Amino acid sequence: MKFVIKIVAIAVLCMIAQFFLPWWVIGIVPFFVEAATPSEKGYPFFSGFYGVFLLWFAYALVLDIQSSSILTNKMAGLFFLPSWPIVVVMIAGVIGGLVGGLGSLSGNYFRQAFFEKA
Amino acid sequence: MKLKFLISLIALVAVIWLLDNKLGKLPAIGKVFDPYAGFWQNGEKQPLSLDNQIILDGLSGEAQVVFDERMVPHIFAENTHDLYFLQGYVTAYHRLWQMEFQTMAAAGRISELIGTVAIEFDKEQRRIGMPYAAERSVETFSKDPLTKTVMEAYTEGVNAYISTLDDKKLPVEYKLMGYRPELWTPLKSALLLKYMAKNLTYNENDFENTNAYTLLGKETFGLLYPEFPNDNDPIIPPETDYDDVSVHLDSSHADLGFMLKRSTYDEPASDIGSNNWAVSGRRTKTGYPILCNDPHLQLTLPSIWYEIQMSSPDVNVYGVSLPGSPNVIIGFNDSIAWGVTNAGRDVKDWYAIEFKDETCDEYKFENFWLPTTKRIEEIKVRGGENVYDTVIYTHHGPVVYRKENEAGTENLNLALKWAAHGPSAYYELVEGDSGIQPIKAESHEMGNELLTFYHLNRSKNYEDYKSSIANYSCPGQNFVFASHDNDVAIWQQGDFPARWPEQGKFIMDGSKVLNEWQGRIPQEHNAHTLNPERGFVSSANQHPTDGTYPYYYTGVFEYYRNRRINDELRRMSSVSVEDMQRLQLDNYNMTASDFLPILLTYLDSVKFENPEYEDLAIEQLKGWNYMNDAELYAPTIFEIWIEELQFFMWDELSLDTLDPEWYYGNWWDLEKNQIRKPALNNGKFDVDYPELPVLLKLLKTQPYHKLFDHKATPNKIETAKNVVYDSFYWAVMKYYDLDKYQLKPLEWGRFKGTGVRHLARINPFSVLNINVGGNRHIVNAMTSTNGPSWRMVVSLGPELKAYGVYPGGQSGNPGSAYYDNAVAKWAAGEYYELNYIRKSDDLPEKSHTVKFIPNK
Repeated sequence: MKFVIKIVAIAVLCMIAQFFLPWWVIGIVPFFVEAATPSEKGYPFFSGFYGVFLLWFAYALVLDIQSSSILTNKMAGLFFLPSWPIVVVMIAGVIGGLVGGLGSLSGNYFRQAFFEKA
Repeated sequence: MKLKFLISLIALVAVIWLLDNKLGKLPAIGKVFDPYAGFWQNGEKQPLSLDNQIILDGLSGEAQVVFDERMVPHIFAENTHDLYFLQGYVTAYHRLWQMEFQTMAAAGRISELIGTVAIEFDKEQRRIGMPYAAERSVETFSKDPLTKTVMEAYTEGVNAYISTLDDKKLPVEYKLMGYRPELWTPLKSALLLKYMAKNLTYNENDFENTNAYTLLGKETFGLLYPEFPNDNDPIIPPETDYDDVSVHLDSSHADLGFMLKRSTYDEPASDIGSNNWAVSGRRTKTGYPILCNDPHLQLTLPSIWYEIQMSSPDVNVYGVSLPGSPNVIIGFNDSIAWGVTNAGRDVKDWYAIEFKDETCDEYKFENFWLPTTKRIEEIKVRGGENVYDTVIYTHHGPVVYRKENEAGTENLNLALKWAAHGPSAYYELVEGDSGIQPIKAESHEMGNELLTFYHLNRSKNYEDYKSSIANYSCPGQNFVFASHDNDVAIWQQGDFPARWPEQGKFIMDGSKVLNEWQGRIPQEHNAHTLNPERGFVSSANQHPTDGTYPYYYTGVFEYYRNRRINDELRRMSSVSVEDMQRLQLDNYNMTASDFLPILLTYLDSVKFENPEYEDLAIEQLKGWNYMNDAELYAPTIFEIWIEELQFFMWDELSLDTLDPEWYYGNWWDLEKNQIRKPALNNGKFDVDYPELPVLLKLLKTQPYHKLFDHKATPNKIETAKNVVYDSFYWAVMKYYDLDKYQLKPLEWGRFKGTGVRHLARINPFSVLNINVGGNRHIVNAMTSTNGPSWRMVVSLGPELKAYGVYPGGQSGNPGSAYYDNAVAKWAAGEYYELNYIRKSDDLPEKSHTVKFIPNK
C-alpha cells in the first residue's frame, strides 16, 4: 500500500516540478522521495518508473486525444514506430519511466549507503 | 552499497545526458518525448491558439486580425507601421520555422544547424555571393524611408512573436533539430528575396553551351541551339514594331576553345516555370477583365506561399506573400490584379579570371592589373570547428570557382556576374594624360523590390502599376496586369543587360573590356504590351519577343505551354471564371501532339521483334487524345519514349560512345524509384540536350541528317527511322518491365507520383504520391517535384470575385489541421472562393477575430 502512495507522490511531485524545471527533474524527484522514505516491499526502481510513467503516459495521452493524434501519427513515422498513437504514448511513458526508475533506484541506494545500517 | 549507489547514479546521469542531447541524426529523445515541452505540445487542439486580445509593445494603434475558416489572416490596421508589424507577427505565428530555415539556407548557415554534412552547401551560397547580395539589398531598402519603415515594422512584428515563445510553443522542427530561433533582422528578409532570385535565375547554360560549342563546332552548334527555334509564340505579340529603337554596342565574339569539367554548383535542369494571363473585358462574360496566375515552383511544406489580406487606410490588398518578406507578391485589390511568371532570361554570366600571382591580390584587365577585394566567410559548424573560406571579388563579381579549390574547374578561375548582386561598376578604356587607362563607369542604382510590391499593392490603374514595377530588378519577371478600367497589360520587368549578339551565352574572358556589361536595357525598352488587338496578354516562360526585338538576349525558354494557352485563349469567347480554371488545369500534351504523328509514321512499316508488346503500345498511343490525365497509360509510354528518343538522338553530345552495359543493367534508379536519366559524358562535363522543337524540325525535314547516325556503330549509317525505332524499342521494353517487375504502377498519375515535400525532408511531414495528371510543357505543369504552387483566378469589376488554392495550408505546424488541409482540394483541381473583405465588420463565417492593443 505504501508503495502505491510513493508512486502517486512521485507522480504528483514530478507533475508540479515539471512546470518550473527542465524535463530531467523527473530523475531528481524520485531520487529524493526514495532517499527520504523507508524502503517498501517492491523493487525501488519501480516506484520511480511507475510514478513517472503514469505522469508522462497520462499527459501524453490527454494531449494526443485533444489533438486527434495528428502529430503523434507523424512522429510514429519519424521514429519508425507502428502508426498506432497509443504505442507512441506508451514509449513516452517508458522513456520517462526509465529516468524516473533510475532516479528512485539511486535514491534508495543512497539512503542505504549513508543512512541505514547494514 | 556505496558501489551500487555509484553505479546507479552514473547510470542516471548518463541516461539523462543521452536523452537530453542530439546524437547524430537522432533528436534529443527525452526532450522530444517530454509531454510538457516536447512534440506533444505541438498537436493543436483548436484551429487558433492565439488569445482573443493581445497587448503588444511596439504597436501604435489598435488593430484587428480576422482569421477566416481556412486560417487566412485579414489584417485591419490604422497605419502603415502597424500593418507590416502585424504581417510580421501573424506570419511568424504560422510559419516561423520555415521563414528562418529558408533564410539560413540562403545565407549558407545550414552547417550551424546540422553539422559538417552541409559545409559544401554553405560554401556554395557564400561563393556565389548570397550574403553579399543580401547586404547590398538591405542598404538599398534602408535608403528609401518608405521601405525602411516597412522593413523595420515587419522585423519588429516577427520579433514580438518570437519573444512570446517558450520551450513549449517552439515549432516542432526546432525541437527535433535541437536549436532555437534567432531574432529576425532586415537582412533575413533580403536573404529570402535572394533565395527566390537564386531559384528563379537558373536559366543560364554558359558552361553547357561552351562545352557544346567546342564539341560540335560553330555550324552544328548553330543548328542545334538556335536563338529562336520554330514554334516560338512570344509574350509580346509578333506584330509589335520596334523601329524607333536602335542599339549600339561595341561587340566582340565568342572566344572559345576549351571544355569545362562538370561545375560542382550547377543545378540540374529545373522545372520551375509559371503561367499567367489576363483576358480583356471585351472577351469575358462580365465585361471586365479576368486575370490568372499559377507559379510553378518546387512543391514544399510548409508552402512557399502564405495567403493574407492587408488593409489600412491607404491599401486593401489580398493575395499570397512570401513568409519572410513584407507585402503581397501575387494578388489583387478592388481596382487591379497582378501576377508574375519567371522571365527565364540569362542574367548570370561567367568570366574567366587570370590572377597575377598566388596571392590573388590582382587580376588582369586588358594590359592592366586591377586589385581584388577579399571577403572572409566564417561558416560555423555544429559539433565541429569553424570553417573559413576566402572569397575573392573582382569588379565582375565573386570568383566562385578557383583552379585550386574543390569545386574548381581544372583550368579556369571563374567569376560570377549576376543581376542579383545588384549593378556593379564596369570599366571603360579612356585616354587620359597618362595614356589609356581603365576607368570605372558608375552604373545605375540597385532596384528596390520591396518598393515595387509596396506600390503595386496600392496601385489603382495602369499608370500606377507601370511606375511601381519600374523599380524592380531581379529576378526578372513577367508582370501581368488587369484593371477595373479594363486595361490588360504585361511587362517583362527586370534589370537586363544590353548585350551584343551571343554575349553571355558562353563563358567570357574577364580581361577584355568588350566583354563587360555595357549598361542595361532602358526601362521603356523592356518588352511590354498594353491592350493588344487579340484581347488578352499571357506568358508561360517563353521568349519575350520574336527576333525583331532590337536587343540580344539569351536564356532558357518554353515552347509548348505558351502555345497551348494562346491557342485556347484565341479560341474562347465570352470567357468565364470556370473557363479559366479549366485552362489552368489543362492536361493537353502539346509535345505529344507535335511529335506523335510523325513518330508513328516512322514506325508504320517496321516489323517488330516482339510485336505483342510493341503493337499494344502503338494501339495505346494511336487511341490517345493527348491528355496527360492521371488515369491514362499512353502518357507514361510517351513520356518514357521522348526521353529515350533524345538519348538516342543526341549521342553526338558525348565525347565517348555510350556504354550499352549501363543501359541493360542500370536503367532503374532504385533509390529514387524512377527511371534513371542517362548522364551524358558520365557526368564529367555538362552539355544540355537541344530544345525539343529542334529535334522535331530535324525529324520532319532532314531524316537523313548525319546527326541521326549513331556514333557507336561506325559501319552502319542510321537515319531518323532507326533512331525512332531504337528509342521506341527501349521505351516499350522499360514500360513492360516496370509492370513485370512491379517497379511502378503504369497509370500516368501514379507513375509520376507528385509529392509535396517537407523543406528539411522530414518525410512523415511530406505528402507523397499524389495521383495527378499534367507534366512539364503542359499548362498543368505538375511533375513529380514541381507544380502550380498557387492557382489564382480573379474576375475584376464591381462584382469582384477571386478564387485560389495552393498545395499546403496556412499553418506551418505539422501538428495542425491547417498544415496540409488544402492539398486534396488542389489535387482535385478545385478552388476556394477568396474572402476579400471590404469593411472590417463584414466578417466571413466561422472566423476568429483577434484584437491587438498597444501596450501604453
